[in-house]
Amino acid sequence: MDPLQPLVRILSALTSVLLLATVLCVLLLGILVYGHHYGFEEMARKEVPAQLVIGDATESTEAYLEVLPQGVGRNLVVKNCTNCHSAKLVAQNSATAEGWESMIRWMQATQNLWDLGEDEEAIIQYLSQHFAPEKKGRRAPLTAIEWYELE
Amino acid sequence: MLGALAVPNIIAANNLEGLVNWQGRDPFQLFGKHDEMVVLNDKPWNMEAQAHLLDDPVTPEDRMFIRNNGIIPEIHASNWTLTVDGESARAPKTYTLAELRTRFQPHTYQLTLECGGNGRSEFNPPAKGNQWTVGAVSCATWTGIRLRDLLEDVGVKDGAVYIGYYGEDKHLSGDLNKRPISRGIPIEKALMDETLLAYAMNGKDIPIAHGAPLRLVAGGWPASASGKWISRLAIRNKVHDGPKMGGQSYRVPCETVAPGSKVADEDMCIIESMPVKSLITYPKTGASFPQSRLLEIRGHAWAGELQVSNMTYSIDFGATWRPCELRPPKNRLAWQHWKARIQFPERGYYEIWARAMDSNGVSQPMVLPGWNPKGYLNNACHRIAVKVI
Repeated sequence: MDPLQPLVRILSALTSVLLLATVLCVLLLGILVYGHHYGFEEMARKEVPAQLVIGDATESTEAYLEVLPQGVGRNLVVKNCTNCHSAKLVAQNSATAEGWESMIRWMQATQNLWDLGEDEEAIIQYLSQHFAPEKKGRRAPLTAIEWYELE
Repeated sequence: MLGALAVPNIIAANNLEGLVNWQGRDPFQLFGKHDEMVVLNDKPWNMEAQAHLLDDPVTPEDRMFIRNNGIIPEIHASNWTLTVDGESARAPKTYTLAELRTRFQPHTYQLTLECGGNGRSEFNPPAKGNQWTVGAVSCATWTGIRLRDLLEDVGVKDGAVYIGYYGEDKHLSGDLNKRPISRGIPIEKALMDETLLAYAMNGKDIPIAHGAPLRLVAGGWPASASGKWISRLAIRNKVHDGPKMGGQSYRVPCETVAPGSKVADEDMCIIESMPVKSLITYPKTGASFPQSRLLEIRGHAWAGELQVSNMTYSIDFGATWRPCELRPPKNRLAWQHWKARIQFPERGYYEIWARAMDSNGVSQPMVLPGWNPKGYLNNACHRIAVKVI
């Protein structure tokens, strides 16, 4: 009997174990990632039945969610507002509570936004606190100028 | 990124067929945009240029703003058709792309397209929508057929009022029964020489983000009148009533109002020709240079349906104005190039303000023009900061 035979067997057994572990890991990761997306989309679908889910729409909003500061009501804004449009559209606007309410009413009247129910108050509170209008004059000073030497 | 323009990082999205998933991707790669373009909104995609990116006489594709109201459609140019119908069409007629390209005389014009909301970010109280600064304007070269030639081929009954467009873009909510936008132009504008149903931009097929394979181009009007991904045109016997024709969209108070006023829908009027405006495209704001330098400034000016008749600049906040050299447009509805040379009298911080006047003698305001609920038509003077050292 080849004296190396036991060593080869041990090595091949080890390789099999490693391979199996890798396959299991990839599977687990796949389920986790897929499950996460599936869960998110399911949540969105529940609110808007019989709809086209456009592309991988959730990824786009997730990538830009950092524009929404932490605070009470943030999750409600994510859940109710970013299914249709980017969080960036929310964050670049600013308005009083009344202004945000009128935007919500417009979206409900024309853009298929659902009834926000008892969440509405917290949503408007979050938006009007974090995205309030600034007092600006008829022309603001130039700001954020990056000075450079003209060549 | 000091001084010189950055090298564009372009990976063209030429593969139109089957590229459905427009969301959640790098827009600079997806749409082949210059890396200094600014993403305002990723769903729907909205991007604008910065003033210094728009220095070219003809706007290249990578510096052209993107304005979407909905989701960019999947395009199959090979079986694309255009149907023309409506109350005032003699009979509905359908064309393939090949028929449009071969049966009608092609025309090419350089045409200014500016978003009605360009400059919205400055309004006070703030106005709802994408907060465009100065970069939602372009002047590319468009090639296509005259809308007039197409309408003549279809046959227009007496009493036609408006052309309404229908594009293939999808509503953000995913509701397939809803359209994100369906606007258009009055018949008088539709019959003008320069009003095109375009299939090419800057000598190539229209890029997907800009309306491939077929778009309307109604230069000098809010760019939303120039519908993208067009598959149907309706010859209407009344003002078109598609989404974003009514309500507060692309409309301003018929009578001027105080800032912050609530204006009823029935008191709003549709925006037609855009107002006179200009941009300083060189140098980029923030330039510092020695006093000995004779500074060249340059840019473009445009005036909707009109021409720009005079161009001036000020380095003392409008106390005095000096003339610029102004060139005629390449064709009607193209922007005009202007330039000037400035010798600064002393060292210090300066702002250079540019001001255009249209052929009716109307100039850009230095402060914001009349407030309106959706923040349209901000044509206040563009300005840059410089330091003379």
